[in-house]
Amino acid sequence: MAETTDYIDVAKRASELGLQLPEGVVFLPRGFATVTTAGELLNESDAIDLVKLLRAEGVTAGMTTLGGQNLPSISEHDILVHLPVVLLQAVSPTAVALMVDVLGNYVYALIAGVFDKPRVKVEVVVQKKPGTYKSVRYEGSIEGLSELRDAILEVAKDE
Amino acid sequence: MSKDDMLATVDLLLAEARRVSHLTVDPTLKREVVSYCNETLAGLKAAKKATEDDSARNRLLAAELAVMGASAEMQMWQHLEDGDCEGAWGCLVEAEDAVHAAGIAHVDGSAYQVDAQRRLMLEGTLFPPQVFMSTGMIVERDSCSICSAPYDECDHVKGRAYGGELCTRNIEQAKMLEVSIVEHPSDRRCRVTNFDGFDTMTLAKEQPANQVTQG
Repeated sequence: MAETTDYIDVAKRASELGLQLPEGVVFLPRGFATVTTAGELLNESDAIDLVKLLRAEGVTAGMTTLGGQNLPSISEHDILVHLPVVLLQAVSPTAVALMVDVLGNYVYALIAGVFDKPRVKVEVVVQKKPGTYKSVRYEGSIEGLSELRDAILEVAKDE
Repeated sequence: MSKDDMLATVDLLLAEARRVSHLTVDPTLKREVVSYCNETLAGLKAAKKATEDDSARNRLLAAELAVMGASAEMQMWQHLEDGDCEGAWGCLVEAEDAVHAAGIAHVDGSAYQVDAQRRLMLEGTLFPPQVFMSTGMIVERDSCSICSAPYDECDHVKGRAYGGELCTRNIEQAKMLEVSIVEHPSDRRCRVTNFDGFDTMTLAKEQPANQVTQG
């Protein structure tokens, strides 16, 4: 089920940490909302693959950078998918649908056959206007990801 | 042999592997399947080389992975006959990983997933539940196995097939962060092998090293 809450001002937080935010769909590093210094930030390994898959679908996507350099990534050798927090900035409903499809297919390819009922846990942050962000959290089956898509679209249009 | 003939051969081979993959079946039949697998793998590699169509190469790769899985499963039985539980476990994991990869390599590879379910059942029946380990690392340098570029700078995605080859992310330099006990590791060969003096595979009490008698 998808739950919507307020989220911190992503642009302000990125500025405090000295991070550059690319346009479109951005995968935020682990610890973005909590670390003291940018040196503690790590990109999720899965974020690199998700950026590649979204770009292949024609969706503008990227990761935050520090001084023009990619942050180090963390590689964890368990099979659980460590989905990064996804930031959506001025993306079209089509891009939202593609993003949700790519997430679902990615998770399915990794864990199909390993779990009887694969589950996804993901947080998507939607920029409503400069300085205002909403978080949509989803935890549930891959088949139920349409709930996430609908919740994102609802938040995006709810001005 | 054409691609379609090769794929038909693979289907027959996999059917035979399923037929003999039981504890009571004559070990000679299992060894014959391994030999047949080796011949078929050579044929699949040749067929991959003979075509320039990427999708056809990926389809043949999916079949190749399914055959590798069948061969590993047969070898699991051989290890069990020899009393080599470690070797048997390694082969079963190899068989499970191969069929999973076949499903990602090409959409038609999903046809081989019937073996994934069967191997999960074999695992639960033949081996006691295991405890696994997983490492967490900060990657300092890596590269793509397909194009050799740093992994975050190319378009290839690990686990996917390109021109009949699986893409892997080669981690060349990394800083160890932690080691954890996990339920679902990416490599199930990383497991706790003994606990409190007991072998986690045989559940037998291990003799301390200074009490092992010399043959």
